[in-house]
Amino acid sequence: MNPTIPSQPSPGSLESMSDAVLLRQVSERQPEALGVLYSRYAPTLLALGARIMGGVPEAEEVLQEVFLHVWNHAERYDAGRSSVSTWLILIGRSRAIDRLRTRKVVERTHENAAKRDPAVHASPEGVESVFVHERRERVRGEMEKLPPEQRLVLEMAFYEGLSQSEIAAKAGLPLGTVKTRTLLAMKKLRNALRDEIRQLL
Amino acid sequence: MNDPIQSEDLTIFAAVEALEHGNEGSPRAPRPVGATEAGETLARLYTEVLGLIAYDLEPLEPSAAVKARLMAAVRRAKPMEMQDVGESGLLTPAEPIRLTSVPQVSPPRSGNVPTPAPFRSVPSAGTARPASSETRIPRPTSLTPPPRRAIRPARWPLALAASLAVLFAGLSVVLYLQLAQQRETLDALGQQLDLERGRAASAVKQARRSEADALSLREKFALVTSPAVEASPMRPPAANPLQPGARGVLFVASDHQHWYLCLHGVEPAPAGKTYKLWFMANGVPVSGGVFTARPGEPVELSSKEMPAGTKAVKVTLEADPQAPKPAGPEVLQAAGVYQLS
Repeated sequence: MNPTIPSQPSPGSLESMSDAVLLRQVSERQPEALGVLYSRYAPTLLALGARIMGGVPEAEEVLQEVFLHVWNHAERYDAGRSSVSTWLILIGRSRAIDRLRTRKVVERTHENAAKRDPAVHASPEGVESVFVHERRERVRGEMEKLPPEQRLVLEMAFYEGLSQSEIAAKAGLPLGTVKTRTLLAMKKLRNALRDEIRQLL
Repeated sequence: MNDPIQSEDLTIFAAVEALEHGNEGSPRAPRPVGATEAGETLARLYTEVLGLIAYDLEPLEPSAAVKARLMAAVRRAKPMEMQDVGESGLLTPAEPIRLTSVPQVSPPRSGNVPTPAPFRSVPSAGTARPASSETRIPRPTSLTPPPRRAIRPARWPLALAASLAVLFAGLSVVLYLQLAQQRETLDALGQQLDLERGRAASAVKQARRSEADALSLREKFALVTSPAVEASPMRPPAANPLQPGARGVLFVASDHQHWYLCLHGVEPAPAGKTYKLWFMANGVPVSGGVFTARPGEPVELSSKEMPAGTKAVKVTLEADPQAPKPAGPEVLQAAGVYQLS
């Protein structure tokens, strides 16, 4: 007799479908598919928006914009260029940074404390799919292994939208040093997250 | 032939540069010079690496209202799409074609409708007439009007009906298209309305936060103007000051619990380091938390609790935020206590 896990989505249900299949259904105007994608990625995208803009209310606005964009332009997704997950995250990041630049919202005191306060901000268990949860654990572990100086330049580029030159100026480092750290960090992450990337591809 | 290592570096920089340009989710594949399919695969690998960085963050659960607004917006758009399908059997151009096909059933006769030969006067010998008409329609044998009324009404009403049908069908298509356009406009307005509602809600939240901030400021003001408050100036250490321009004041309420610290001139911490506040309670350092500083902006910290037995306060620059005791250089230290009265 096969053991059953009650909370596991049944095969064929929307929850068990891959991101690409869900996105195709979204392009066919299936709101339920959008709802599943939302449940799967909204916590990550909200965290990303809040990290970039320094506030949850604005991040929620961006989150809604991102998924409306997906609903209206799902056909623009190009599977040859990125996974659905990366597509969504880069849309969210781009929208958040655009808004940040437009409104000049720069208020992130104690950001690290807030970022690492799971008692306040943790996502309820079971909201995200198992795969996303595992991916998060893995990425977090590998990011923590990065030397702080390498992690810093990567985060400044990703979360603050700064160019290499801007990072060098802000951190008071030679441009060459910033570039070297970026290269090292990216290569380490690529090697360490090989399995995760393979799953995405 | 490109050096593969250099090529990989170029790919990484191209991916990061695409990020700088706010590339929205469909990353233009960063393609190094002379790149092949393998090069594009490499580019995609690094794009995925960038996409994974966001998973480092602690996820935040959005409020249920966000999803409700989103799903309401898309479901409002959805009926229109369904209507496009559902009404196609009634109003799409397929229908007019079917209606106009009615007169097509008798195309050979339609050519004779304007001048039906049998009902004209007897043609003269020189009148050219289509042979087919002559073969199909029997020549009248007398001057008595043939069954003219029986045939004529059967043709012109048909043509009229067909014309009207085409007219109505065309009108229906135009009206349908206008209706669809108006529905699209309404949906777009609905989405806009939802967004504006969201913005209004966040404005309300912002106002509440401002109110809370104002309350906090009032409390701080009450604290620093209280007759029994103790003020302790904070200055850099006299010997080898790390930041000579830094200064601050620690206000402690009469209950020795509620405190407020305001620092000025503190420079942003170097990369990899952070500022940490310490209470020296009975000679034992107790962490008061870490904080960041922005160029030209004061740092304000406050709490309603202070470790019992606190005799001194200092700020250090630490490499390890979790350090149990001060390990880094002192930036500021309390330089005495004054009673404000």
